[in-house]
Amino acid sequence: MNPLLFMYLLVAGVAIVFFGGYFFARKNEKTRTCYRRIWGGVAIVTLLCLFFFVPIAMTTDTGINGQYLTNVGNVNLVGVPYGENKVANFFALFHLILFLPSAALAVLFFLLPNRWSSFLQRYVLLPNLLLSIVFLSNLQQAYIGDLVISHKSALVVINVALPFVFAAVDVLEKKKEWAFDKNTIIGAMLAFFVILLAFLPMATFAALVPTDCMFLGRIEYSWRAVDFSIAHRYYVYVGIAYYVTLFFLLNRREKAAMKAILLAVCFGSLSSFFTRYGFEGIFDFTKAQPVRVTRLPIHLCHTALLVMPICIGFEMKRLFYFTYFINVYGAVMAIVFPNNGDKQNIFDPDILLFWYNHWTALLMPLICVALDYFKRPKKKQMAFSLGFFALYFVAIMFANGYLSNFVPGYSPNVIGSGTDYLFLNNDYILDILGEEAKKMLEIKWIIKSNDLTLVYYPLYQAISFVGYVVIAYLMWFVYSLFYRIHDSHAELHDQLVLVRRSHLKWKEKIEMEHTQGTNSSGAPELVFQGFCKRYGNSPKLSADHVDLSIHGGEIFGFLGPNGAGKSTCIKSAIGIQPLTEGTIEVCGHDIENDSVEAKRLIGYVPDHYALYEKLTGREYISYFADIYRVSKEDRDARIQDLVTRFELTNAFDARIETYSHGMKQKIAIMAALVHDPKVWILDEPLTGLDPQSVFQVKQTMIAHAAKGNVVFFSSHIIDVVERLCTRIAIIKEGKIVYEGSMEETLQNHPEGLERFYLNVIGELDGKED
Amino acid sequence: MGKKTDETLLSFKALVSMQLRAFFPYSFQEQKKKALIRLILYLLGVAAITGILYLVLFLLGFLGVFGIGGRLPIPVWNVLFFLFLIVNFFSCLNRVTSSLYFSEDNRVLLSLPLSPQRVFLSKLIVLFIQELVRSCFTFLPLLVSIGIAYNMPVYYFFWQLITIPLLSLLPLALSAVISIPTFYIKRFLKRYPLIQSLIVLAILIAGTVGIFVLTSFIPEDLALASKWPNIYFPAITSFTQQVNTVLLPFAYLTAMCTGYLGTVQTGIGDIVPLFSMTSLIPFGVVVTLIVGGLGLSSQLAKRVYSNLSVSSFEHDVVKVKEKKSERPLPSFVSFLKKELFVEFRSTQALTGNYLLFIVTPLATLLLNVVFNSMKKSFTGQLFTLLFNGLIIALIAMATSVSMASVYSREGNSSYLLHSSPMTLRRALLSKLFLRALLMTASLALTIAVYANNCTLDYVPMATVFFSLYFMYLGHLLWSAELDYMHPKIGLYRDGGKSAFNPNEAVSTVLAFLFAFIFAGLMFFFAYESIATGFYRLLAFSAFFFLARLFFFLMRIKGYRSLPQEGGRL
Repeated sequence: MNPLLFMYLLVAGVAIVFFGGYFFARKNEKTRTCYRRIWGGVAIVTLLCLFFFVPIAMTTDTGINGQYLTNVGNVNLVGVPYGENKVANFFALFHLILFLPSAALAVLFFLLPNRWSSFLQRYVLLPNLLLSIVFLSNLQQAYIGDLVISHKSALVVINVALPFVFAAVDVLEKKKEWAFDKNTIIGAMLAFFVILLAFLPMATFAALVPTDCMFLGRIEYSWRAVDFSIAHRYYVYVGIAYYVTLFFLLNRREKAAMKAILLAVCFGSLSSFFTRYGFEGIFDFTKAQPVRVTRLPIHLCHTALLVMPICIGFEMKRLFYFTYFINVYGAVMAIVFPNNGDKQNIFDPDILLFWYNHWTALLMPLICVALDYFKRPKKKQMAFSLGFFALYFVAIMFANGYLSNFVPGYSPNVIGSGTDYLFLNNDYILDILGEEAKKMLEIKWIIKSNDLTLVYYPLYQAISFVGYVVIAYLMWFVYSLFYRIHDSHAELHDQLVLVRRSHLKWKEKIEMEHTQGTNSSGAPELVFQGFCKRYGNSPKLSADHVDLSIHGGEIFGFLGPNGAGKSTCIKSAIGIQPLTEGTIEVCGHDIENDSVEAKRLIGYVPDHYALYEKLTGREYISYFADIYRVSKEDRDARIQDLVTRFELTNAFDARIETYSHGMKQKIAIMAALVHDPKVWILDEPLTGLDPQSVFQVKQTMIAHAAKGNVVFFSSHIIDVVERLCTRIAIIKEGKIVYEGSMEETLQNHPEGLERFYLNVIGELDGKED
Repeated sequence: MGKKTDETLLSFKALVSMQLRAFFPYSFQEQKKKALIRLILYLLGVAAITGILYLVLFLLGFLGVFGIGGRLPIPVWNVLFFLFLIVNFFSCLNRVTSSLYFSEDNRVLLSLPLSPQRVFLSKLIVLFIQELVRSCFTFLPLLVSIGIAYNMPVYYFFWQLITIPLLSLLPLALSAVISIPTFYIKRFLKRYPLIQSLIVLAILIAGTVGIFVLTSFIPEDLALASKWPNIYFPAITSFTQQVNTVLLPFAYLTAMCTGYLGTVQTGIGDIVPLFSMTSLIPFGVVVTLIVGGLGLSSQLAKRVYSNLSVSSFEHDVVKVKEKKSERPLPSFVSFLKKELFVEFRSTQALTGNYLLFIVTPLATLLLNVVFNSMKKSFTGQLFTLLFNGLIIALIAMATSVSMASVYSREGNSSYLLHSSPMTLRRALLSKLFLRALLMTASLALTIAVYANNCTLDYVPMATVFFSLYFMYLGHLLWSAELDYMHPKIGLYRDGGKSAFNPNEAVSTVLAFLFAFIFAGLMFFFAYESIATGFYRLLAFSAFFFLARLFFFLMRIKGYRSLPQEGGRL
């Protein structure tokens, strides 16, 4: 039978079988899901079989019929199906590059439908797979090197047909979904591109970069990615860049999309691994020992490649944490001390394979935790990983001893002549540490049993184990550090989002006010609207829905017991504490969103004066005048007036550190008044002042309010409040429990403000004189 | 009477424990775990210092730096003891004077119903305990490492249980007496800050001249290995011998502690039994000095302590000349002016914060004169580059460790940064401007000094300057960010100094880390390619600085108001 006909018949057969069953299964949601899962599972198995049993002939260095696309330094790199026809050969390679990710994604999206899959199945995967069907012969040539009927060619065809029918079904089911938003399109295309890179055949660069490239120069063997050279480092950067892109692509995405993409990346690594590895090469049934024991995929980083897709697919946490602690560390060691040969340049497929696989082993576990696909590990999970590693270590140790006997040319006295899984049977690692370290290998145990000679290096292997365990344990601390860094950045991001939202809300409000003509900016007033303040994670609000409006001309007294929330309100009003909820406006300017303008209109006298004591009084006030941009004429006039009023003429040019308490308090008051603020806020201003100074301050407050400004102050001295204030409010446990004019208050409560206040805060309950 | 004595004793005990609590805040009864952890950390610290000292002694002996035979000659011990004691004495004198006469808690302590003499004694007891703890990190490791290195008998180590307290008490007793004239000198200098400034300036100039003189002694061709046996070793031995003729009392002090007496007359050193007259006589002298010093100071305290200790809170009433009104300045300039006045009007703050700016170029000069006197291969030249980068970066970043408390140190005044009508970003960055400006000058001078002593061209030197500057700025911003995000205002609330600020500790660790990374990268990039290495270093440093600037600005934006310090400002 004609091989091409066979292939198309096979495609048709697969489609008929699938659609036949689907026609019946789709009627019921449960059966449809079950049907998808079964076929999806079958497709994954066949895909894996394709990777395992059908290495891509075009990218092996065995060539196809002795023909090669590129030859670099006398090493043949890319086998070719079309002889001298370079255009056809490049088309075959290009076809391969598109086919593999399309097939994998079509299968994965069939099992894990998501927003991206709808777009990609319709516009990318289906067309690519259709292309693969149309040019099936080209694909077969690239894969197998020839157009023949064999189990391998059948496998290739099935892996074209199944993804194609999956994509077709998805498109038909969502036939009404034609339009996609810009973000979905960009995200989906980027995802496809990322997966395309993951499935890149390893000989791609060797095929695409000719030996005499006018841009890069001749690709010589000097471009080797060894010994932390520049080329080596570029590989590290590229890997990090790839996974960082993957992180930002998948961060906060739906889980199905995350799972599908992560699995696709893992499959990409497996595809290249088994292509270059030559899984079928393990078995050589023509020889007496059928298993090529040096080729078993049981190195530490091999286990990562095999275990990661299982962990991600089946969400196996315990197994995942083994890779997280052990494989990551192993991959780091491999990357820092790569075991590349001397004659491989940077585009050599084996070099690319090394990096692809170690990027996966190192970065895939990290990204799974970063994306929150797997939670951050707990200590007991680390302990389990170490236990599992111990078992693995012992198994490998014994495997080395046993399997070495089957290596042709093995000699127990020649180090490195046997198998060397986990580098336990060789001096590769010790070579890095120096000649003295190599002496550890002189201590060995040789056990003879039947025809087998088992050789172990107890000292070296014990120290290796301890070293692995200690470093894996230290990984815990490294991870903790990175978690902290991540958490602080995540918190910052969330905070910035909150700030932006608050700012946008404020802008909308201002625009609305402008439109309605209700903008009151400029008139002296201080308005608290639904103001709430919570400190840290405290369950209690220190200010609980405070609503106050103080207008120009008022002297407003703010009373309350210690810890009631007075200072909280004041400090939030002047902008040194963030608000939890609500707003505070100063002359129409929001203290959070229009803080500079709001603060320009405030004068603040703190409860504990805070002065730069090395400055003189004059220098201190001038500094404030400069900050508030007071003109020379105004500041001279005001300073003169205030200095005279507060009787500081003699001390004004002395350093503040020489002042008494009262003098320091007066300087603080002067600093708050030098710019003639529309809103003057004082927190316990009379504490510690002599009677004369108290009188001076009171007079100043009256004068300032008389000019139409707001004077807002808190005090414990009830008598002063009673005589001075036009309005008062009483706060208790964060809530305003009373608000009213002084006149009204005294009218309604002839017993006096003190008793009234004590009644309100509950101090007088049952404690009458 | 007995009851009154008991009450007085109880009051005295309470006074001492109250002061000790400030020094060691964890009570064994209440916070066992914390106290235990602190104790274990102390012990580990002592062990670590002992190990390091032992290693140093071993290496000095092994290399035969001061003598053949694999051991340090005893005259060298005398010099070591002398250095330790002198440094310890002066720092003890400073601490004693500050604690007795300038401490803020005197206001409270002297108001208690206890005689001034008892307050004085309580302070001495607290100071003794502090000195004892310090001696555990200085004399104890020295003596124990000597004991291990020289295979001293077991009773030697038990004998240190006596010598360590004595070595702690001796400077304390002498300082207690000398603190009185020291107080007068300090008060005089406080009254006349110009004289204080002149003295500091004179010391700085002398130091600078001293460095230049020192560099002139360094030969053009160091050739340590070849010239060691015939030139350097005899010179060191001769110097040690000459110094020992002056240090005879310290020789006997060494004998008291170690049982070895080494003088010019005895040569390499006689082994004297630890409890022989040769070592017990100095013991007697030391005890006499201690008792005499404490007794004398106690008697003087009865008469003058009260007056002296409160007079530090008084300010002279001096006639102040009225000044003209100040002309308006732009807010940023006014801000800088305020910073200059606050920083530069305190000589202590000035020297503490800005001395390193002057030290950097001098240290570079000294280092490079030594390096230039060595023959170097290409790798040697790269190592020279590495050490220069490391030292300059370390010193530069040490100057910005104090930025980890730049906002908190304002104490209660820190609210002004947030309540003043300028963008918070501007207010916060302004605080860093002065430092950055001064470092520009310091680094430029340093690089000029380095350039004068190396073969690198102008362009690479310029890239090194900018690389260092960007690293410095990055560390400066990081330190400031630490303080902004984790303010420790409570430690400085009343304008006092903090004993320990965890942010500064983190900043110090970061300084070391960044300095080592910078130096390592400098070496690595230059090793790979001199032509492009410095540009790559510049790119790395610039990226670091820009990243830190970005994150600092984002944090200011995200946490616009003062981040909470325990929930309260």
